[in-house]
Order: sequence, then C-alpha cells, then structure tokens
Amino acid sequence: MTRPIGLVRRIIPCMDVDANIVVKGVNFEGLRVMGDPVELASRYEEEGADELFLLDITATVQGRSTFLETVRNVAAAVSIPLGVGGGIRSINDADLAFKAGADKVSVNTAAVKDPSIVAELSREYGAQSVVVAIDARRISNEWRVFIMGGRVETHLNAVEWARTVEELGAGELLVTSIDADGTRAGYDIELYRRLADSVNIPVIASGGAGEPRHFLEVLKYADAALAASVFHMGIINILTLKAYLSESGIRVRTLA
Amino acid sequence: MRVRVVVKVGVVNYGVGNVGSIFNALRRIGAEPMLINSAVELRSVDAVILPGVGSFNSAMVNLSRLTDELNSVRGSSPILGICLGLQLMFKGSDEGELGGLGWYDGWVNRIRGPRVPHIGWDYVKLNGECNLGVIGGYYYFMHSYAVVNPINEPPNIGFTRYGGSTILSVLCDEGKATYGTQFHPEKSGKLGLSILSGLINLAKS
Repeated sequence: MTRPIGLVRRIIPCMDVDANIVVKGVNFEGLRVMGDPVELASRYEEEGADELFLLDITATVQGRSTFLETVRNVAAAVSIPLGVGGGIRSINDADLAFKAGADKVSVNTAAVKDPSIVAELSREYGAQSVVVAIDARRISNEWRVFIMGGRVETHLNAVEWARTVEELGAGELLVTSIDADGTRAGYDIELYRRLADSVNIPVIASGGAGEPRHFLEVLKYADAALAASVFHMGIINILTLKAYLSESGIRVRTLA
Repeated sequence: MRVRVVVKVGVVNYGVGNVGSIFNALRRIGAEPMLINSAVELRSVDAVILPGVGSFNSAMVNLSRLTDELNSVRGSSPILGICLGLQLMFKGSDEGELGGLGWYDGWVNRIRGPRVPHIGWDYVKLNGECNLGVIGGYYYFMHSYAVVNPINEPPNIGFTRYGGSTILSVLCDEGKATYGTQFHPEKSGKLGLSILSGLINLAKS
C-alpha cells in the first residue's frame, strides 16, 4: 500500500553536528567535515527545503551546550520547521531543545530504554512535536532496531516498534536504514513499504539517497525523504529535485 | 539624517507554549517583538499578534484579563491571529467549553482528513485581495482544529482543501484591521515572512 496521495511530500536536509560543524559519516562511521550549520541551513531554505533536521552526534555533556548554541543560531537564521535530535534522554533535554528554537525533537535510544518518554513528550508538547527516530538494520528477513548511534543491537523488530511508538503518541517517525546509510545506492524501499502498511503517522525515510530517482521511489511510500551528503556536497540541488518530483507526479511544495 | 522607525509588535502571552519562532521571525524582518502580559503593555505596541500556542481554553482563560483592551485597540492597531490565535476570534470551539472573542460568526471544529493533526505544507487558495499582502501558495500548517467549510465571502478569503473538506486558512477584515492565518507564517519561509512584513507595514501607515 502506498501512502495517501495528495498530501504534500517533504524534502528534509539533515545536518549531523559536532562542535558547531556539520559532518557526515559513512555507515555511521568515519566523519568528514561538510560545512557551517547556519550557512548550510540558509542555503537549504533558499533552495526550497521543507524542513531541517539537526542531529547532535557528539552527545557528550560538554558538547551539549555547544550544540544548543548551534540550534539557537540555526533557528534564528531560518523560517522553516526545525527538528532536533541526538542525545535527548529526558524531558529536560527536550525542553532545552525547544527553548533553543526546535519545533520538534526526536528521541531514539531513550525511547527504547524507557518508552514512557514518548507518551510524556507527546502530552507535554503535542504529538506534532514528537518524532521517534529508529535506526534499523536488515537481519535475515526482518529489520532489527539498533541504538546508541547504530552500535548496539536490540531485540526489537523495527516495524513492531514503529507501531508501539505510534500508540504511545509519536507524531512522526524518522526511520534510517543503517545498511543503506552513506552508500548513495538508494533508500531501503522495502522497509518503507512495510512501514506504510503498518502505521498511520508520517514516516520520514533516511539513508541511501544518491540521485533524484531514489527520492521518487521512496516518496511513494514515505511522507518525507531526508538526506545529508548529497545536499551538503552539492550533488543534488533541492530546487531541481523538487521540479523533477513534481514533473513525475509527486506533490511537493513549490516556491511561489 | 535618516530616522529609522522600529515597529513594536506585541505577542500576547497565554502563559503556555513557545513563542520563540515568532520572535525570531519578527526580528528577522526588523521588528521589535515584545511579550504582552498586561493591558498597559498592549497599549504600548504598534501591532498585535495572537500566537498559535496552547489550547483554546487555556488561551481564553489567560486572555480574559486582556479582552476589554483587545476590543478597544481593535481597529486602530492591526491584529494578526495565527493558528489558535485565529480560532479565538470566533464564537467557540470543539476544543473547549469557553466562548471565544466572538469577533466573527462561526465555530471551530475538529478537522477530519487523512491525518489529524494536519502537519506540513499545504496550498492556500485566495478568493480576493488583502492589504496584508498575503498571496496564494504553500504555507506550513500544524493543527487539529479549524473553521471547517466556511462561507466563501469576506472576511474569509483564503481556503485550503484537506481531506474531504475545506478549511479557512486566511481571514482578512481590512475595516477592523483584523487578520488571521490558520497556518504558521513564522514557519512558512519567505511567503510567511512577507505576511509578517505586511503587518509591520500596516502598523507604520
């Protein structure tokens, strides 16, 4: 089953941030410098990005305040929705992110360790502000949830976990295929097809974008497509990408 | 010597929710945002925003101390209601038992559609002009309630299809300098910022 047609699909550049610098890894490892968060964010808004995501990949105590400063600077520079994730372990962490200018926060490891944080965040800030991020790897015939930045395997099945957090009050899912991440060989279409059959909240697909065709393929099943390096490195221009999607019959926001 | 007039925009404080993005957006267009807690503060600003944070009841409870003053500045200073802020201008809402400001006939309903809440970019179609400078195009929505299937005549001028129904997305009452958007201009990129700039321009004139 595909997602409801007629809903506007979103393109979301994601910035992994370490010490106020955007970096990018391959298969969750090996970091490369990509640029300045505010400069990239402004460029993406200009090109027609529908939303931005900032992920704290240091998530250390000392790195945290630097990251919140980055969130504040980006939030002050753009006027499109801003999602913030990485290292959000408590309501207090989420509160600091919202106060810094986040419109939504994503939780990943914290939700697996204690699912009640999803319900609590949803009650406090509204479902529209709560994203559950799921990192999944295909193992035999299922997708297994990994936590701690993809390093630790859990016993959870990603599709079942998606259903669980939907019931708990998540407003949206950000699902990354660890296998596809950084390969630029295309999104894990099968994963998003399964999710589209299983949950009713919006799903943001992440991991594997390499060319415009990949976005077209995944947006039949996902509400939004997130990508990083193809945008950071200028391989794909968002304006051109959206024109292509629109010509191919996917409804996207065009700049008037 | 050039004199720069900085327009002061009061953002009414309902005591809940985060008005950070409205403040950011107003600063970006060169206005000076100010959180409004009292009638005195309300009288000191050039334009007023009823923001889109919190729920209908909590907002009306907090607004009760300012209603008289709001009614008296209405017509002289431009007022823009955003999301819930627009909904408050009607008689009431499915979301709460308290009455709204009652400036306009109509009721706020829970929306129906493929997904509730309605989150994301959607198209606003305009039937008419507005001195706020709002134009048709895509804007960012984030709501579960709206004026559903409104009558197609002023002050209702902007409409958005969602699911099987139409929601009121822009209200423009030039005579009373009262405006409202169901979407969030502060999150709607350039088109959104131009609406806030329109409010500033009205406050200057």
